[in-house]
Amino acid sequence: MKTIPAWRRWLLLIALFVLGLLYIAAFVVFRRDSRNFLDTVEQTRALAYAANHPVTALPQRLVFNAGNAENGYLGAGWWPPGPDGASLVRSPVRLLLPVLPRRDLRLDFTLDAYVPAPGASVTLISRGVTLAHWRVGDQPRLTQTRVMLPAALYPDGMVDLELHLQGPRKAWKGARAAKPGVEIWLLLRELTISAADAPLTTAPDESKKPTPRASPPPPSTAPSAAAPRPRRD
Amino acid sequence: MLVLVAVMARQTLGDGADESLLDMFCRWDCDWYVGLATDGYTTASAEGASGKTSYAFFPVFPLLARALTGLGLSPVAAVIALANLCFVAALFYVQRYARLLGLSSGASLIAVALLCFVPQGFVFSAGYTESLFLLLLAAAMYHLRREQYLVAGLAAAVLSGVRANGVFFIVFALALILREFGWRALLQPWQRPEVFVPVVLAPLGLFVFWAWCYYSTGDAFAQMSSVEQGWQWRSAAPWKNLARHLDGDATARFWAISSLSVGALSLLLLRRRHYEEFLLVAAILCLLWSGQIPNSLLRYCIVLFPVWIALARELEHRPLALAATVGGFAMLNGWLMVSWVLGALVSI
Repeated sequence: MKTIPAWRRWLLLIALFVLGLLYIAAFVVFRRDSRNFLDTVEQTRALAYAANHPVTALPQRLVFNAGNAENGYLGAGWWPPGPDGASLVRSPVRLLLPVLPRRDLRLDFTLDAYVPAPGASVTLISRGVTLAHWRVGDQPRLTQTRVMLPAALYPDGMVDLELHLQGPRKAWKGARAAKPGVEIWLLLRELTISAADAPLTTAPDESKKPTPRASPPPPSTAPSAAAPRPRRD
Repeated sequence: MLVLVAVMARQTLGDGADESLLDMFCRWDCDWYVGLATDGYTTASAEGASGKTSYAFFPVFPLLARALTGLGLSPVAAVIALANLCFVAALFYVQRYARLLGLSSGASLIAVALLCFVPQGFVFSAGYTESLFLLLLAAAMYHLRREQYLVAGLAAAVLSGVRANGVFFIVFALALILREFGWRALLQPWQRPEVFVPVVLAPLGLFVFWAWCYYSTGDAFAQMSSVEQGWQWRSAAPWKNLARHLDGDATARFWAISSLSVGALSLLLLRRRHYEEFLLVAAILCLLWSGQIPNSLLRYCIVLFPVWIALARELEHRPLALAATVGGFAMLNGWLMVSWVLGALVSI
């Protein structure tokens, strides 16, 4: 190889160096701009479904079980619902609800977080505004999951909700999954949408009989409409 | 023989349904490759399997199969013909590589025989990527040892478009450069830039695939996205995974023990001071063991042909051990072939 002229060696080295730099630049762009395509597909499908299936009357109770039509509102990040509800593939998950009556809303979730690890929490966000932050206790069922959603947060009629699961995770395998082997982290069973000023027929979780929580109790879960705060995560 | 075993198993143990020989060699992932060769990539998940999409599979094998369909072959025939052609070519490379490593002609042929008889080696004849991967890996390593850097680099570039772990060829290449030319070659690359051509070209196939995924889906890592969701692939420390597999069901234990056996045999490479080959095998094994799912560990391991070269060297002058090894391999292969034909998970 000693016969190779110096200029050719340097040219080759520069070419290899440039190719290496291109790899690095491409990787940085890919990491920065890539969005999970499965989420994109599901979100697009949910948007199309929501556009054609608006919620026209309140209150509306949505049950996310296998085979139910309202599963179409589930956007990115969900497994297809099983017999117990819709579980999370990855955080965050999205929920799109086209609500025609433009008014402040009350959302009552039935939500289980199977992450019995200290520090785990669930945050509900809509269009960048944190609506609620629930700490996970020693039981899966989250309590006080009533949230007020001001009409200003869905000016185009589309309620866009994100559920973020944070903190250390430990799967709870008791609930039936839509797919064998899938670990359940967060399970959305039901959501009831009501007008914010509609009379309360039951306490948020009274009918669902929540299991007792460990002390100390979690912080208030409904800063809601009165004091929406900017997204923190 | 294996084809005969397959036909007999199908007729006596299976559901008796008519199935052509071609279809018998197209199971599991083969259907995905046939779909890719026919229709290309799609973001749609398989029926009832959220996240299982064709993006989980690398493009080179179905692309080549698609080219073969231009000769008039059906997609199934194309993937199987491609696999078999690649395997035959790979055997030539393996034999020549063994000779490069100093094996006698007889020992190099033993290495070839071991590859032909290795348990689950029938996937080299099925619509899987193993044979193409084996061919490109052997070609890249052979030409690098022959100091044909551009050819080695091109083979390595295509290799990383067959499977992601093809990138680990870099480990071998860097180790070989270090051994052949010393630290100075690494610290003063302008002295011998040509030796780095294979190293720099090796990730090209992977990056091209990422770029295609980014262009078509907006997700450069669509392959990983699909594998994680559709096949629940997760990574964890290899030793934790191996412990879990060994503590799992019989199938998981079989896969774990098989891969550990290949790992143990790879130590023979150290005995013969084939450090570069050992590092390559060790790196790929660590990657395989880092997956939490034990599926197909044996199949992924059998392409690590330096292990069979090392074993062939040990068996060269031990005819009884050679006969026992080949016989044991053949029995296991027969059992796995029957499992394959009957659709048992252990052969996936």
